[in-house]
Amino acid sequence: MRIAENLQLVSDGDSRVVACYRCGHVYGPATDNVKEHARMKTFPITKAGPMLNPWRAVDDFELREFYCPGCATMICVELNRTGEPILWDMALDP
Amino acid sequence: MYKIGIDIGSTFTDVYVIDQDGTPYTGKVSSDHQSLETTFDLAIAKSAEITGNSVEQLLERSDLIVNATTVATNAIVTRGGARIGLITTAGFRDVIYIGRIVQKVAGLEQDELRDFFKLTKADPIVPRTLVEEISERIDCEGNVLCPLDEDRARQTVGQLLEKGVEAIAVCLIYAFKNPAHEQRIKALIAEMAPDLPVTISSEISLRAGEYERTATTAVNAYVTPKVHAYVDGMTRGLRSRGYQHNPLIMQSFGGVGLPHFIKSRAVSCVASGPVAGVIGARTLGEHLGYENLLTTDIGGASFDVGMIHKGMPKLQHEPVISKYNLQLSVIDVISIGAGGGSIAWVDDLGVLKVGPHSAQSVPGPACFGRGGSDPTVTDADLVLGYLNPDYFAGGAIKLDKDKAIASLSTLAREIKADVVETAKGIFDIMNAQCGDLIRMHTVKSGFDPRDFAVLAYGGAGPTHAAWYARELSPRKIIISPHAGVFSASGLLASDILSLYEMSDPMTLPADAGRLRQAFAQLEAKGHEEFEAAGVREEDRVLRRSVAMRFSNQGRTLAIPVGETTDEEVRGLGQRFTDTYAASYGTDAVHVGAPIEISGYSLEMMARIRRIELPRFALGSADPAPALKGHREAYFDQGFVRTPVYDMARLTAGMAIPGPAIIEDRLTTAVIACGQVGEVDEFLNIQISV
Amino acid sequence: MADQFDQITYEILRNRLWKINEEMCAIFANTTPSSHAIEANDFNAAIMTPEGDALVLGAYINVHASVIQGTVKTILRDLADNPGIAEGDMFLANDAFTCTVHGCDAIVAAPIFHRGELVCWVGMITHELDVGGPAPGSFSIEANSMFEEAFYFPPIKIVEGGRLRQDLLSLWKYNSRMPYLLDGNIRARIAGINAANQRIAETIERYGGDSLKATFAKMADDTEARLKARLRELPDGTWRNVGYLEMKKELYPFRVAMTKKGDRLTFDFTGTAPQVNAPNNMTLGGTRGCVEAAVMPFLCWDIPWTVAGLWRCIDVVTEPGTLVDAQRPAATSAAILSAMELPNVLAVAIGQMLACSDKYRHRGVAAYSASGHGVHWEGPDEFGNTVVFPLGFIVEGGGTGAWACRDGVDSGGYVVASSACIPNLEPLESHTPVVHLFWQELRDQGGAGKYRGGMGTGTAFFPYGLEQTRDTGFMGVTEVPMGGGVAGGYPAGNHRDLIIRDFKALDMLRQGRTFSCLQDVLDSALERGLKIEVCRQAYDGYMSKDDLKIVLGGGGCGYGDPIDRDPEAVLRDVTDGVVSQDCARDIYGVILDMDALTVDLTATEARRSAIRAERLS
Repeated sequence: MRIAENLQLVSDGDSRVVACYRCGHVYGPATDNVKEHARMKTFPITKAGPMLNPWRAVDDFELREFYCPGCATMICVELNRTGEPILWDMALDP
Repeated sequence: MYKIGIDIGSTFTDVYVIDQDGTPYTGKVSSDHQSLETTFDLAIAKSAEITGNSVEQLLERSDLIVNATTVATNAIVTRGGARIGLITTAGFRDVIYIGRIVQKVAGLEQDELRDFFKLTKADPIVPRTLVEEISERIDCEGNVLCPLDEDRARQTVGQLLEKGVEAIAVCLIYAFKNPAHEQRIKALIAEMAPDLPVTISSEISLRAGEYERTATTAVNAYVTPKVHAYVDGMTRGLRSRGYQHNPLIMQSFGGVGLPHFIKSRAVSCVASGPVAGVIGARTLGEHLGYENLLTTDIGGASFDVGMIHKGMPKLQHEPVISKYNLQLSVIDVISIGAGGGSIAWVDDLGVLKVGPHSAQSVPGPACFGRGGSDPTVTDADLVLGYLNPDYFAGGAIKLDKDKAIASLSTLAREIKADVVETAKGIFDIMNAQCGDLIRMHTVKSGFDPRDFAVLAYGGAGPTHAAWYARELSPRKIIISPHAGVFSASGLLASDILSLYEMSDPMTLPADAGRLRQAFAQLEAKGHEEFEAAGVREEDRVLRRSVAMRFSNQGRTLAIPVGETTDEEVRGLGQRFTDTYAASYGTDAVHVGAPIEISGYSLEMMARIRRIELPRFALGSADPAPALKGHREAYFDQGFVRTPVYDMARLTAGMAIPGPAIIEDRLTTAVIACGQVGEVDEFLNIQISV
Repeated sequence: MADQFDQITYEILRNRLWKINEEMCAIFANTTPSSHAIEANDFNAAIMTPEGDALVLGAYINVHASVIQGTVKTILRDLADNPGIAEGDMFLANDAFTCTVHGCDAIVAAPIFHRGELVCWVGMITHELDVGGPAPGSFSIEANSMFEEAFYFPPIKIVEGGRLRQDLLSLWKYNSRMPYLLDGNIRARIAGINAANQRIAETIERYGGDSLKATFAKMADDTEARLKARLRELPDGTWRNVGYLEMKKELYPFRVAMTKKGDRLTFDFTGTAPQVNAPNNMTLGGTRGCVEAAVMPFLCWDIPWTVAGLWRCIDVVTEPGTLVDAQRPAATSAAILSAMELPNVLAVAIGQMLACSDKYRHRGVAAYSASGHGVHWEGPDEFGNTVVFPLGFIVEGGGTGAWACRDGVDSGGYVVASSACIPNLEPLESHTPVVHLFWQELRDQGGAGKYRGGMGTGTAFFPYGLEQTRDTGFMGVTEVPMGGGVAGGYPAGNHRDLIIRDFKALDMLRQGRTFSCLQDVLDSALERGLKIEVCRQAYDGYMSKDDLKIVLGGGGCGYGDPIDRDPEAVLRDVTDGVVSQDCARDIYGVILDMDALTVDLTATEARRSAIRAERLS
């Protein structure tokens, strides 16, 4: 079952895992936050383009990019405060 | 001599001809989607056929040809216009794309606004790569803040020419206050490309509002080459076959224009489609003594409503065409997708709905037997007995009742009703939608439908009018003997008309001198154009009005003015307040608020000499001589044996009690129980409700 | 047979109620003197049951639904005995704790009687430009509590038995900088409500009161049934999002966990920051309005927006005393800025839920531009009265978020309004002492993605015919956008105001120097060594005629991985001038041949491979 642009749920024995919809790479159990199993890099928010945000007054925000370790597709970009835990944005019921 | 009206519609083209005695001849041809020129020729051939002439004979014996064409509307709706360049003030190249945001929803119904996923802006008529800025700026009073940089302007024009533009539109900020820069650019383009059509905004609209003015200017440039080709081709074609005069073309604000006018302001034909019917209604109203009329036209796919109030068509000052809001004054005709071909369906909760989708002419309603299987309003009308299967479009289309029943049966199962109940449901919903639209159109602008007579025309208007008009309690329902081609007949009732408008806000007490100066400016322009068109000064009629509002309001009310004497100008405030109170209620008057004149409007008109409608003496009330026969039709609670009359055999003075059906080649009228249709001296059926 | 004919009557009456509401809105728009209403469609109307549950809502500002019905419920609860609710009465309110989102929103609600029986309520709400208080425009940006803001009016009976009460009207107008606008708007609402009253009476005469009651009940039932059916099509789970609201130079988290179980949807805002000594706090009414503003267009696109039915499927959980459930005496005069942002955060969560369904995945959406943006000047009008000039709202039409299958709309409008609109400059400059230098769609302002967000607009202007002016401004957020991109899409550029002192734009124009875009202005400032002052989310200062204000609106966020974008679409964006070549190369990994106006496919593939390699390095 496809659950996002680039993610799918697949059965793995009795349990379900989240896998890349493109390359099939298995991230981890469906009960986990998939982003914890993705490759993550953090950047200054300016990476998102010249309008982000040359006039900023607050500098403790960061851009977190999450990639598929298999095919390098960027599955999610999170804009969050430095030090905040990774947002668990999708948790399907088992 | 003959007078010929040709109304080109999207499906059918209607023809209405009168001879020197005022005897009418009517006909219909299918519109050729590939070529409007061909369609026009077909209609001329039809005119010859119904009057028993050859084309050459007819044209030699005709002194008036009036045409309503969709050439401009089609060019814009199908995006088939010219490759244009657009020149703007520096810093404002995006105005037409920003479109005040509202472009995303312009012209949509409430239901459509809910689906954000489907909201998109206009498919642009000018690509961003063909929009160029020039250095200049004028302020809100018309003062030059930044002079025009002519060298840069030349360079800019050169770039557009290199990119192969077929026309150029120029719209500069506040050009309506000071057109000097636009005029200079026009002159520069004329030096560089003498034959290229150029539209400058100050020649199209003197209204404030840069988005709508830019869009209007660009649309004018966009449709100009197509309109020129059509008008020139048609004029040449008529001349070469012996027609001695200039043909006239219908404009969206309800007057006809000489080819000369139309070519200099092509945008004035955009949305002129449903206008002729309203103009015809005005003339009919004058004959019948009705100053207030609602025009209701049911065609194949839509229901159109227009209004005549105190003898004047109601205008709309910012129509939406293909998602662009335009600064045009057009006769205000509003439409919904509810016509004879509208499809009935059942939603996912089992509720019966009608429209807005339509079966068009192909495949058409199920009963047409052209392969359509969706049940339509026409199928319901047939099953309920209102339509004669052997006399639809004068017998040209045989209606298949079994196919209609089959199509309705599917729906009937879904809503757990029988076929007749289903047909009655479709009929009722259709009529309620029509009634709601009329109500919306009237009360939205402060009018009470009870002060109006309802004129019903179009193929299916007379079939439904007895019901949709009933709830509005109008003074009368009127059905013309030519209801099936009423719009084409309206063409022959139009005058040569041009409209000149200007924004120049002024707070009361008004400076009468400034007001007169504004009108003088508009009148000078009008006289110049009418002079060039060869209309004699003594034939020109002028109507002036001012647009007024309470300070800060967005909408205005039009207050007619006469010779603009000091005394008349002093009384404007009171006249405005009285008109406002009559529209919205006494408590709604903004007590003590400053009143503003926001703009000026001048109509210049030349009356076309017309033949009076033939008038017949009132005779016997007994309709029996027109009786064709009887058939079963549904009224109130069930089928009853209903008398069927022949429209062509009605004579003045007959009184037909409902229930009754009256058949014409091109329409079918129905009179409901409790109503009486009286045939007046012009052979209209006037139904009392 | 009887049942079926009830169905048909129902269809007729249901449509009629929508039309009556539309008519009420149209009459208001025709008669209001308020530019926010005329030019920006900042108003709405609703028809409600006798109990105050909203049945139909105009397609204008969507957060208004809950508050109109909240006002009626307050009237029913507090005023039924004293002063009583009778035929011909109308009530006015702007109290954010019981009736509105913030004090500038004023509601007139009227009970509609037929032959002595209360048959329904109608209500009209509009944004009032100034209801008093310390700041022009009544966004009291320095306020710590409601006691430092304009007066709060719980419902008062402004029309009694058909007569407009002069004492209460005076009270309402008296504290405003522009009393004539409040007066005109009361009258415009009376005009709208009178029309609705008459139309409803006619409908009852024709179809009977019982049919109308049955229609009311069925409308709510239908909407409930349809929303439940839609929810059952989607998998159970929880979707979360976080955004940061900005006030008084600090940012505060706003958190939502949206849980869908069976046919119920719960929005749990636990974890959102406590209320702040600043005017952007939202009351529960505003928060419920935000939930509606997200649920209606993004989950109920084909379901009638009968609010009473929606709420039978939705729960809202808040902690009192937080930003989403502020308690007295919190300041709330700028709460609308929060209310225009939050629906984005919720819309993204809803879109991610839809992404789990093959049927609806294409309807996933990234955040629209954050929207609230005002600049208010104070100065004399043509009659010499000191008035408020609203300016910044011409950039409120930001870019819309990208969808899972197409780009967002450039300058496409904000998320809380179905038919957002911004004014033309020509009429604006005619009654405001200002000249605008440019008005454009801002390059690179839309968030990148496989489908990019829409561009926001920006402008620059200076006082013209005014030596100096008080200059206040406020936006929802300026530092980081709310809601974000989806599925690898980037966030968008945000709202921001800048001031360049001594820019002397008028002198430059007179010398023939025009400016075509933001970069043009920034370059000119740089050349002349002028400093660019950055304004924070809310500010209160002065500008002279030589100063230039730059006002930038936000873009929409992107959807999907930018290096999956069709290179031809990137080429089109670059030639159209909405995306820079730098972004094309760095973010989209697209290399263009700008002479031939083509994509260099080999170089593009190499560039995209390099980006992939870099990601996993």
